[in-house]
Amino acid sequence: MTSSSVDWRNRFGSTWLTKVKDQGGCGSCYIYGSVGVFEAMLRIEHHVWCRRDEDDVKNAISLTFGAASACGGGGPDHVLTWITANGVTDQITAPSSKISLGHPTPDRLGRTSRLDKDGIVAVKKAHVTLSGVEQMKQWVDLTGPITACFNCYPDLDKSCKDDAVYTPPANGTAGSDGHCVMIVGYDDHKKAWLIRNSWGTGWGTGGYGWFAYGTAGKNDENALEHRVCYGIPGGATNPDPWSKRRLHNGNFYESGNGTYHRNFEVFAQGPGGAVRHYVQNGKTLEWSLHETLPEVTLAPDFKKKGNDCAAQPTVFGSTYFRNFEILYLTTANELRHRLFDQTSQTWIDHGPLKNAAVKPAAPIMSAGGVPGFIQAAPGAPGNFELVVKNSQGGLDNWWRDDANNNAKWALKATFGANVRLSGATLVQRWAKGGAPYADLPAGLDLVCVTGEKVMQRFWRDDPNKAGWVACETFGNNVDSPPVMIRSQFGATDETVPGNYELCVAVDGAIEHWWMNGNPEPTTSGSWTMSEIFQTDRKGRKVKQVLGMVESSYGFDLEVVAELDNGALQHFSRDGAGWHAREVFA
Amino acid sequence: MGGKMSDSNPGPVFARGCDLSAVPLAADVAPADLKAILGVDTSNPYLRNLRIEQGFLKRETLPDGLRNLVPIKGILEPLPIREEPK
Repeated sequence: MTSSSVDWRNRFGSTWLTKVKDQGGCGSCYIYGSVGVFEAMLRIEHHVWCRRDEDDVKNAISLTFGAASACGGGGPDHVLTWITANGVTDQITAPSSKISLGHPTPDRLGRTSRLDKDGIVAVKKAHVTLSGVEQMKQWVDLTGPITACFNCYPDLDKSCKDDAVYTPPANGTAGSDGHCVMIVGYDDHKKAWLIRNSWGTGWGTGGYGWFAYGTAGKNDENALEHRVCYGIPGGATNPDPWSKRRLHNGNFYESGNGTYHRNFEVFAQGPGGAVRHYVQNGKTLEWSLHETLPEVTLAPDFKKKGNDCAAQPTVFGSTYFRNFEILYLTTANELRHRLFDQTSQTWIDHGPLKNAAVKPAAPIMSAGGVPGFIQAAPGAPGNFELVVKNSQGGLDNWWRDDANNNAKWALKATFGANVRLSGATLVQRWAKGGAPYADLPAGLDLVCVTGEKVMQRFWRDDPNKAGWVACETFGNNVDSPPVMIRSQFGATDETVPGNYELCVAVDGAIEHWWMNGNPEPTTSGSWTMSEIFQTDRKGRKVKQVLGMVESSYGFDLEVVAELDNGALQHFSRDGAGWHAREVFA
Repeated sequence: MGGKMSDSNPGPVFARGCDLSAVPLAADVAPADLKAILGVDTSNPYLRNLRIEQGFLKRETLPDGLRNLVPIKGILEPLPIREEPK
């Protein structure tokens, strides 16, 4: 039996809808309704805020049909079909800059969330046509918001204040225009749909309103159920790597691959310096060895092929076509960058990183440990950032300027002292006010292990151009590299930073630490250890944590750790706490 | 609210933009087969529970790791979320 009421603004104890938008004077409600449903389904299915840019669709329609066409009206079916073919990008820059399909950034394809028409075989489309009250309610209850288009009368413009229920005029009333909204809930007690409009927060109750069910023979022709609605199956949604960039670190990544676009990918050091790629199938949840990466050419003359991986890699999915980018310490203490090119489905070896600022270019060296390696703003494409331990016991921050596409690495800063271990803990902070734009300075955070075996956070204070600043210390007796992400906990909407989550192996067990992410901490954040958990393998201990993800599975935290016998084990945390899962390597 | 529009009613304040000729009447469209569409897994554990409770999704078709990790409760009773202090 369908639930008697649903409200996706706050359901199951979480928030699922982005901030209310405003279409302004443009007749583009059909775009806002469709993109809004897509955004909501990305959040509901993958548990990540994934704000999309309606201008991406508007510009494409204008390019195809003329400058005024996007504001000239249309229907959701066409928009959702276009999204299935092209995806929708994020709001890359300030709205005035007009970067979109007509003027794309070089990495647009990697910044688009996608709809997969092949994912749901029963439909053979990435969106479903719903007809009638029963189907609409079932879909809203069991999947998520839907579009609704109707005869819109002028009295709606000033209605729905203070949660009042709007009743549409009687059948045959003149003076309506076509309008589209999202249905984001319903209440059988009120006998009304909960709609989300695209007229800003000044309309209705904060941009939302209750719209009465139609009454047959009276006003049903003006009701929301009079015309078909459109819904998107959650399994068809495929979020972009840019939106997920803070949700993973280390050798562990949730890609958009697989039937439900939730495969886990793990890259680990294998025998003889090889790099192995393991995958957890998102449908069967079975782990398997997917491949061993091809051998690379080795120094000194680069004529000999072999393997040179000397430590666990760090990986992420970049905005370059969703490529996998991996970086690892080599047997020569250099840092090798390799990528899986999604367009050709082949591995490309970029070789050891070189410092382009000196002539001839010299290898970038590391004094050991796990590199912090991410793609971050500013820049579109976002710059690559790297932090590793140097031979003087400090940390080096290298960067690659992707915005100017010169692909050259340069030293940005050297900071810290008495560093024992670096880790896969580099994460990007939020720009002031949570703005999604790439051109606002945000800064970085990093946690390392000091010579006293405690953890210390460093903050690159970009807004104040203050460089790297030493911050609080926490933990004790730490002798393995930590892994850190920014989760969705506490991120009540897409502009609010989530909490820091950190896992580290201490004395054979894993400690899970977290820190409030809102407001962004300055130099004195307060960490709390939430739980210590262990492997369930008899006689075994955890040697080090290798990777961490906040996954599509209901805000679950996922960890991959190396045991003291070299095996790799998966751990996860759901509503009931941490669980030791499969040993897969 | 509602009722006949008179000459004294103000015109629309906000922009619209739907071409209703591109949106069929519900009565003209055969209902989609929701049993097939809602009979597949979702990553959202709460919706997974609801689909099982309402008979769309069969628990035995799910891999072990998705069957029991989240406690199944009544469909109107929210499931517990391990919330961290804000």
